[in-house]
Amino acid sequence: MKSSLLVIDDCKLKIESFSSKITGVVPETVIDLDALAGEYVHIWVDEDGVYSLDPDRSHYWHIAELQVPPRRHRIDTEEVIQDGRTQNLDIAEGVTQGGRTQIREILVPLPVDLSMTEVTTRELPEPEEDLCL
Amino acid sequence: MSDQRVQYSEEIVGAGHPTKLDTLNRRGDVEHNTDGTHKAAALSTALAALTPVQFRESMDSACFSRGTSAFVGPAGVTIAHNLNTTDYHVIIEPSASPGGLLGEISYTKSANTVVIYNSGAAVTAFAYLLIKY
Repeated sequence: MKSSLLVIDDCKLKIESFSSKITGVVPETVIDLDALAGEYVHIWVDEDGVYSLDPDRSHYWHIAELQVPPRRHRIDTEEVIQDGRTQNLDIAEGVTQGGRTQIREILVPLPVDLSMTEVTTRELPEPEEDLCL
Repeated sequence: MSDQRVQYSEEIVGAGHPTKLDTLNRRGDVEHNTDGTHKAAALSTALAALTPVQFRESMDSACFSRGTSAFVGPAGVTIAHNLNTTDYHVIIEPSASPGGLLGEISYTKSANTVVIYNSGAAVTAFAYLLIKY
């Protein structure tokens, strides 16, 4: 049986609970991948049932992997008033530069959207007899 | 396994007693059948009946995993295996010239996969051998 993963709130992966001989019951977990925009991520679970994204050490079981899409930005305009105060304006409002104010474009980061991301999942651990002689 | 020898506090009892445990044959029974033949003999016979290819495949599935794959860079390429432990050595041998672009090779072990990373831009082929210890 493979692990069951669900994208929630655009940038989070919800991994359903499962149990195995080594880990015991691994509770349902939500992993926020927003800070990992643009990176390829592997998800492991350790013997104590805790998930990890750390590639620098061994883990009990490899659960899933995915390419987190790069962060996208929305272009907004910012009106700079002469006394130094600023006010955010949406570009759709058609504000034009002139008078005593200055308009400049700013990039507003958007949350990572995992809705179109393909997640590769792996079979969950099962007890297996050691056949090594 | 606990001490199977007859202790000074025990009675010497042979096989087949209606109520008492067989202490006389206890230690020998660990590795022998009732006719005195070794239990391992059946396994030896089974192994001897295998062709070299069948033997290799049998050993491969339990104690070794080997094959070929290709580097993908820092994202890491995942190799699935059936070793069901993290107690194994990882041997990576580039089988095509990376043209100086391989970088450093590292890996993350788990009981069902090993992820092979190279820090450079090379996406060339390699052979791998995983040996259980």
